[in-house]
Amino acid sequence: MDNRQFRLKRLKNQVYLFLPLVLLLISFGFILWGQFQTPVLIQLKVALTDTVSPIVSIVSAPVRWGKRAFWTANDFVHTYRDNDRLKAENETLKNWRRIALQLQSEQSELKRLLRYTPPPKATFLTAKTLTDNGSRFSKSLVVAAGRTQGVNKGDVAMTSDGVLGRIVEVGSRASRLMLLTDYASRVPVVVGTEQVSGILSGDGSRWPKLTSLPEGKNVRPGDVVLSSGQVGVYPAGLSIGIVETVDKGEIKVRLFEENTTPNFVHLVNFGIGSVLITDDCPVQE
Amino acid sequence: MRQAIPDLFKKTVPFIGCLLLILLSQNLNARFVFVPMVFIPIFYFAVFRPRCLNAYAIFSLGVFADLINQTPFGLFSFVFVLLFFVTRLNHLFLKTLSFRGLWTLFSVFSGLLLLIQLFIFTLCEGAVVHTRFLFEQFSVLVLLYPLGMTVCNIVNNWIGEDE
Repeated sequence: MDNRQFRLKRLKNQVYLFLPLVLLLISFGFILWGQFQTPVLIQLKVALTDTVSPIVSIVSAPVRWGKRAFWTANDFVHTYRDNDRLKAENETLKNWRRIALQLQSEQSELKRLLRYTPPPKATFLTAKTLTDNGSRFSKSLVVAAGRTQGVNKGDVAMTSDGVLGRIVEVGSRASRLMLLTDYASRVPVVVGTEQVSGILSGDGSRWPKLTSLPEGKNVRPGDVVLSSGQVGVYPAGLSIGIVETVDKGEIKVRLFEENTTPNFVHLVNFGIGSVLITDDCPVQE
Repeated sequence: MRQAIPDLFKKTVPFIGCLLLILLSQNLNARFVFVPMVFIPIFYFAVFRPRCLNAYAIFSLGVFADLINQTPFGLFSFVFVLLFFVTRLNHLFLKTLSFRGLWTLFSVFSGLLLLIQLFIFTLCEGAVVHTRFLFEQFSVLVLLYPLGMTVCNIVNNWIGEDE
């Protein structure tokens, strides 16, 4: 009996020693499996995001309150300075409004002359952000709106300042949006008055970089970057950012929306036929 | 019997703590601090009390972190289990070390693991992560080690002796 117990204990110890090795192999298998982005895995991730998001919201409430208290105090301290800045900005905007109204009337006249067919009207909804996944490896946000609320894969996430990213995973109550700064983010854009085509590639840093520019085309700091509408990921003409630095062939773009953790985002459906929407991902029903 | 349930609960505290760290990191800009912070309890409990945070628990923590993060699936589970495995292989030697010795070896292990993590990420995503980020993460981890170790020590003492 003792011998049997001893053998059982030894076997248990051996299993215990090699168990991490087995788990390591399984993890490695997961990494390989993850590369295929199988529907099962995507569904699993979406389901877990759906389940975990309310829990995260509760758990991180004290942190959120702390952050809010800090920013409230900060706003309070800078009230006078902000007030002066806003007054000056308001004056500038009034001038721009006059110009915009003039351009709008010219544009309507030209559209009428050209018998222009307008694109489908965009619809939007506003959603609260639940979690921010601002790791060094990925840049994404989870928002408290999903299929039930009418969110679709490929919807563009925006704030009043500009484009933030797009929806990549949709659950029933929560969705994940990939920020423009994410490593996997690639946006076809046009730059400056010459409309130079390029790709805005996220690289994990605050300022994404411009790549795939045609040879011999010059891009200067201060040039405005707009979405080109190619591939159908983003509609054409969305304000994305401004060229900040051009250094040794590396062009960095400062985004109009620099705050990657806003409390609310607008999820806009531009009604374009996007490659993202037509793929056979199971989350799109 | 009445004592058994609180004891069982006590032993799950390290796991729940790690889970909270992963969950908390979902709402902070300083996420890069929180997820690798799980390295500290994994290392500590692998040396001193592996039953409280065993291989299964660590693996499930990794899978959980993988699923709720937008990182390559399997990355965190691989790194967490690797840390546990390496630590367990050397736990008899590690137990004899002083605090400074443990700190040094933890720095070496975590540095290597962060490099592996970076390497896997680069292979999977085809994008090279700035080494500055790696250095930031590593520095924070090494600097926070004494604090993490103290908390783990308190938890370990609170759990009490094994029967």
